Amino acid sequence: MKLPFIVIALGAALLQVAVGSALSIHGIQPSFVLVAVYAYSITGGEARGIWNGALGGLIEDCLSGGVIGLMTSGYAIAGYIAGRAGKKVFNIGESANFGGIFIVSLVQGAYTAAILNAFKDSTEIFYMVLTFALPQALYNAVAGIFVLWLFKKQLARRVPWLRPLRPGRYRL
Amino acid sequence: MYKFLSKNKGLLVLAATILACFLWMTWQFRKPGSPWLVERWLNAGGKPVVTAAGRVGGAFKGVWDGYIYLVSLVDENDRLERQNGSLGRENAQLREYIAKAQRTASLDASAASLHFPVINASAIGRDASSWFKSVWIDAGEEAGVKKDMPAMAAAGIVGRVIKVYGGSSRIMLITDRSSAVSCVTQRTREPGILAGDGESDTCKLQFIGKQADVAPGDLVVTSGLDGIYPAGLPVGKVSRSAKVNQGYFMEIDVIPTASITKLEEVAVLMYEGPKTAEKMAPPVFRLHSTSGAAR
Repeated sequence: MKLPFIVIALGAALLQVAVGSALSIHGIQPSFVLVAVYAYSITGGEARGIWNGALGGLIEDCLSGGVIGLMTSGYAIAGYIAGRAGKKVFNIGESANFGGIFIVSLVQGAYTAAILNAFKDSTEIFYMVLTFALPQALYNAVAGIFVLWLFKKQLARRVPWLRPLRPGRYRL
Repeated sequence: MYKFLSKNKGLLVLAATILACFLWMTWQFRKPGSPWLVERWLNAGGKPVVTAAGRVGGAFKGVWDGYIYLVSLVDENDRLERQNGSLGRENAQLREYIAKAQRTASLDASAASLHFPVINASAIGRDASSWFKSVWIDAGEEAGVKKDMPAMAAAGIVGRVIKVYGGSSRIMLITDRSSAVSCVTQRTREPGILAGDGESDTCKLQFIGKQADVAPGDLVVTSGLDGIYPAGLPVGKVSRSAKVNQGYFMEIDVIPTASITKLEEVAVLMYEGPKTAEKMAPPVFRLHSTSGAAR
């Protein structure tokens, strides 16, 4: 059964609201929405990635105390990167997903920190990236690997790199 | 030109999306109003889902606690060995009710001493994003909640209302990066601004000069000067105060007296201060949207 991205993103966002604090480590909780954006964008291409990211970010914005548009644009960037690099870089195997999620999460985190810095002069962007965006990217990557492993069979239908790879079939 | 556009279509769409979001964010800062319609729908539709998820989680916790409780007592007492699972579950559930009643009574007693009417509410969810520290409560416009009303737990203030929906609202916690509370130290009456750290569950007491007398253990209370919180409410206790070489001010860490991470019930104070600070302060951008119910 194929579930549309909006249902997955909505479910992921509500899951974050309901149980996110239980998974929080030093105030940082994993973003299941970002993992969903990554999983759906990696084979969908740039345009699909932007759409997925913007939609997922918008849902997270609506269920957050922040201003609407912050996560929308941040996740759109993440979706764009996943969509653009997905077919070229990240399809070399499951282990590459860790790096993939880490990179898109770090870029999204740096962008969010930059926007927050722009609207509040006392916030230090490098400090925020180092102490918040970086650990969050690591946490997202670990959580993302686990989530992708859980839904491996379902995702394998649409994501080729989750199928067992044979030698000589790598595409770099 | 056409070749360039078609080649970089994705990048152009992304740039347009970011630009649209920038304009939207700026619009929200400049023209505060009621929450966006989709935001209202999502919160109205999400409330029962998150509440149900919380109940399932609570029931699971009750069963788990009950099970652990029984296992530990089986070794000590033969009588409790005969207790069945349903009794254990019932016991755990009843204890949850008692604990909740005790917390509510404590909250009511604390709120009653303030001479403000309060709206009791339960926390049904946290912030979807790690970047902000807020709680979603099950009382909104219908219960009389308005934007900027302070919220407190039995031990002290926890934050203020930033967004109000029909049957729920959102409270920005004092640990959020954007939070700023005008405070004084109770012992020496040193005034400062309590700002959230955003990354941990502690706060920073800012703009207190190096000559000031602030020591660990000092109670920090609201000053009432910000026009949001009434004066004299407990906020937190100083955990560290250091006079660093650089700068004019001390570095002071404050641990909130209310248990921010384990917040379950809150009392929204029906207090609408004079908002003098808002009237006097120069216009500044805030990280949080100022949308919400009209005052």
